[in-house]
Amino acid sequence: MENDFALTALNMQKKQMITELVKCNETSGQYGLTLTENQIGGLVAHRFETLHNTGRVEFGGGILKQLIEKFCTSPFILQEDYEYTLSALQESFYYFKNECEDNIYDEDLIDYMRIYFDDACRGSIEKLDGATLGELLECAKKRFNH
Amino acid sequence: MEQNSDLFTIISAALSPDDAIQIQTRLWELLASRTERYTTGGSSSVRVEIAEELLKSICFSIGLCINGDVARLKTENLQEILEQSWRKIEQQIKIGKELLGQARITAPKIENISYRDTLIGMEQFFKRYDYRFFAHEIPCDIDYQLCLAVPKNLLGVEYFCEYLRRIIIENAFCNRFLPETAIKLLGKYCPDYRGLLINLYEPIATNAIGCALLGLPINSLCIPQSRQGEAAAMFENLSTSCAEKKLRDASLTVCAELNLHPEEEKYLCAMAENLAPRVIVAAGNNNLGNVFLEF
Repeated sequence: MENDFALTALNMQKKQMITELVKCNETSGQYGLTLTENQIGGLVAHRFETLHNTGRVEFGGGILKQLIEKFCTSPFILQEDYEYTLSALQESFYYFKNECEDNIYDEDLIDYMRIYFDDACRGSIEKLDGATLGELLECAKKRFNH
Repeated sequence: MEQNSDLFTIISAALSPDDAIQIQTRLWELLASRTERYTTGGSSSVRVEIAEELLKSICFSIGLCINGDVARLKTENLQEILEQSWRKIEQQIKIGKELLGQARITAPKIENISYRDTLIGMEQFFKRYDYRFFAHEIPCDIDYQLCLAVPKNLLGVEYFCEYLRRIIIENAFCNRFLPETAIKLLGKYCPDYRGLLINLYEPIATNAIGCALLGLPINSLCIPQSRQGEAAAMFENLSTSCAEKKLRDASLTVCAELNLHPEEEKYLCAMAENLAPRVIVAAGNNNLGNVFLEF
């Protein structure tokens, strides 16, 4: 019984996420960035895996929509590694949420990640992945003070 | 994520699989909405531990409101049931305040640090109790152990109030004896009765029952060494259920003589039954003097 319920809840979330990501293509497509059906499926699976690995629970369609909306305008994101970049951004996001103990709003954290990605990492997702929360915040502070 | 076993168990047991899944889905949606409120809309995700606590709170609150009437979950809006539960919880909090006041006024004139600190510390409950998100929690230190512990299935304000009801019953019984007599007995029971984590009611009630068994004046609370053999003989070769009955009958004698209120009577009889295994073992080992004390 509990398995049926968990499965139903999971399927609901998957459907919602797929719908949202398909819609996101309308926005990101303007910058030459789109996701195929397979890539969307991969990102959906990766989202749940990442949530599990970071010990988090998420309702609704997830954070990818906001990540896409914020990052699709970055000059450093290319179509050829778009799916990979989004996966990595998603992982980093949940990592930083744990690091800040949920004391930073999603919107603000994504802003800080975007600033760090552009200014400090110059588009290197690996560099963002290796950053500490402190480095992220320091970089954002510099940008806001500038 | 761990699901709250009580409400989900009740739902699964009482409803058809289709109905159960439908209600669980709606509970999940309610959890999503409560989580959003908890994060003030600023976070799409929370740590699993937080979500589990929020779900426990929802299940506790809804369970409190529907009071076993699971059919209500099929037809009523869960958010509305949750809000109704908050009204009930608010009433219980008010009752809790009255009970705490009563417990303090009726506290026996016997020094015990954990008893005193617990009654002082319980005031924190009202400041810290966040019933809209964590209704199942008991955010205060309750160190003093009751003679008959509150059942583990009670949570939040229900646990809080029941704990106080029991302390008030224990207080009432202890106050039926002269403080000097009770203190002498406690000193024999545990030389550091002031500092250690002991229950004040238990040795007093035990000796009262022992006095009743032997036809001794109950108010004296004292059971002379010379009568121990007679007490032990009463339990020789007795089964647990027979020993329970003997002790329960003795407790009824105490109830009648001290003119106990019904709640005190029920409490003392339950306590007497729990005493049976200890009494049987002690009688068998010829050291009933460690149960029924002389002082």
